[in-house]
Amino acid sequence: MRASTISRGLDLLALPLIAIGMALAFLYVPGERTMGDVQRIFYFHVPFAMSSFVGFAIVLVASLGYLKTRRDAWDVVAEAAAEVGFLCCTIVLLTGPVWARSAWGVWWTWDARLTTTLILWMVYAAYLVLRAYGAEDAKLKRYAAVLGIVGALNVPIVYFSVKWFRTQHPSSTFFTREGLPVPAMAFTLRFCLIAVLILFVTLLLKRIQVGKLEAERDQLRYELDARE
Amino acid sequence: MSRFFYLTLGYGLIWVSIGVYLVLMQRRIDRVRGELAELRARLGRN
Repeated sequence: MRASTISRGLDLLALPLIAIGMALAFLYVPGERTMGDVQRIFYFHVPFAMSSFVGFAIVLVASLGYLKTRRDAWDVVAEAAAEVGFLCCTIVLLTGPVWARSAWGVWWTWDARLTTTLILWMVYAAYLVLRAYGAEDAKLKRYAAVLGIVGALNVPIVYFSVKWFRTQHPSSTFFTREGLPVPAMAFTLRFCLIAVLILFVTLLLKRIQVGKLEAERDQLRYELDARE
Repeated sequence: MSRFFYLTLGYGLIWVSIGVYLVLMQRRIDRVRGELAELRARLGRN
């Protein structure tokens, strides 16, 4: 099956799944006892956090692949995954404070989970700035690959920060044996996770397509310069 | 402010971010396709 067919299929799948996820989060799940309706942000906040981790894990693998083989295809995937992962991380940093303001009474606190997530976001912001200023330079591609790997190594620190440090942030509920107390909450969270991951893959494939087009453009520019 | 305000703000920020990213990516695709067409035409002329 061709990549464009898969991409088109995911395009068609992502929007209805997100719409169903929204309906589940707003209409199906009961309101949380202490936080009330604002807790419904959680059903998309957590899946975007998981998607950003997946994105940065792809950056790690693709950057290692680039450093080992120096093939540009790895570099295109690393850059695309970093950009889409950065978008997901930005959404996490936008929705988290909205929840915190309602639940804790403050927009931001220098809690371990929040601070490590902000550091992760800043590392990938630096990565994207570096890419923007030297996309065609092989040396800068190597620097970016190293920065991408360093950034991805921060992901376990972000994930385990709620266990390693005393934090205000709720502990991870997805991969624990206890899970969520209400089955409807657990089902909705899993459904939204699948929907957001499909949206993530859709965006990633589109971004990889952009990277391939830009690589083709750079090759044509090189050929034109060589002729003139 | 009511909790419903924060809920609307949270979901609004999510979908505005995704929407802005999609618009920027589409503009980038259009620009690169335009540049590719121009480069191909110039290479064809040379």
